[in-house]
Amino acid sequence: MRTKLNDEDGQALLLALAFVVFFGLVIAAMLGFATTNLLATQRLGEDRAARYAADSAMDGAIQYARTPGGTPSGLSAGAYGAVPCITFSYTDPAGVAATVTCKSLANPTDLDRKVQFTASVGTVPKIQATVLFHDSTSGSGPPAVDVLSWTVCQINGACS
Amino acid sequence: MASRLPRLQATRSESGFSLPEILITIAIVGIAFVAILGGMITSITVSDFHRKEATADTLARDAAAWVKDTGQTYIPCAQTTGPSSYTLPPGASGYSVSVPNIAYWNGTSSNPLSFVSSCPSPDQGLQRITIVATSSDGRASQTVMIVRRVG
Repeated sequence: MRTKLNDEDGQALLLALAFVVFFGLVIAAMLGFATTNLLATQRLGEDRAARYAADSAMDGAIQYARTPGGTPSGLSAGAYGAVPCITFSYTDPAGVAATVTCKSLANPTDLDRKVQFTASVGTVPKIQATVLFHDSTSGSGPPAVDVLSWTVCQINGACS
Repeated sequence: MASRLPRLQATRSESGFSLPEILITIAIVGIAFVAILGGMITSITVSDFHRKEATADTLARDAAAWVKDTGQTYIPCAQTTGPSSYTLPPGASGYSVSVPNIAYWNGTSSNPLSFVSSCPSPDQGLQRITIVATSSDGRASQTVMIVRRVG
């Protein structure tokens, strides 16, 4: 017959507590990992939606700036001396809103318009483009357009 | 002879498991097994769904880039199907990619840009194209909207 020694009293409780603590930590770590993944996926989706909205707004702004319609006329967007430049905005059907501002890079001796557009979502710039509108050779139709640069900004908004 | 054998005394520590103990153990193990199995089945289902969502997402974005950036000629007043529609890239087995909707810029709006469902005459050079990729079992679907500019 096995005799239970006094020293063994409570060992089972310690083992059980160690077991519970260990698996509690493991489960907590796994849950934290899963939460991080979900959060990263969500952030990635939001950033991608913002970039698509900015991209759409930018193309919209460029097309507007070569169209005589609108109030004021799109052809005045970024014209030399046009301060402030026209502001464009676009909201995609999912509700992501992008705003495009522009800055004239033209000089008084150039008949063409060189304009720098910046598309932002919220206050964070997402895309910056420099565009040349060939107003001098457009004739009666919309001016031809050259996109000189198209920069996707960093996540902190830096576009250089 | 038998009287010489030491008498075995059944003590509590030497006795086997009783029926209630075995039943409780089986019940606990059974519940744990069912819970783990359920978790694994859920994990497999969610994983399958997630994989299809990711594939559909990739296909939708691939089609968006294809329509916008591959040098396809801008089609004035493009339609969702027929000869006046944009060509889509070959999809993947088990998925379909389509353009269910195209909206057209009205030529004047700027803040905000707005699009209408009927094409103005002439086309104003800006279209909002909706691209949808769907798995054949209908469990996953992804939508991408792009704005296509002429020239």
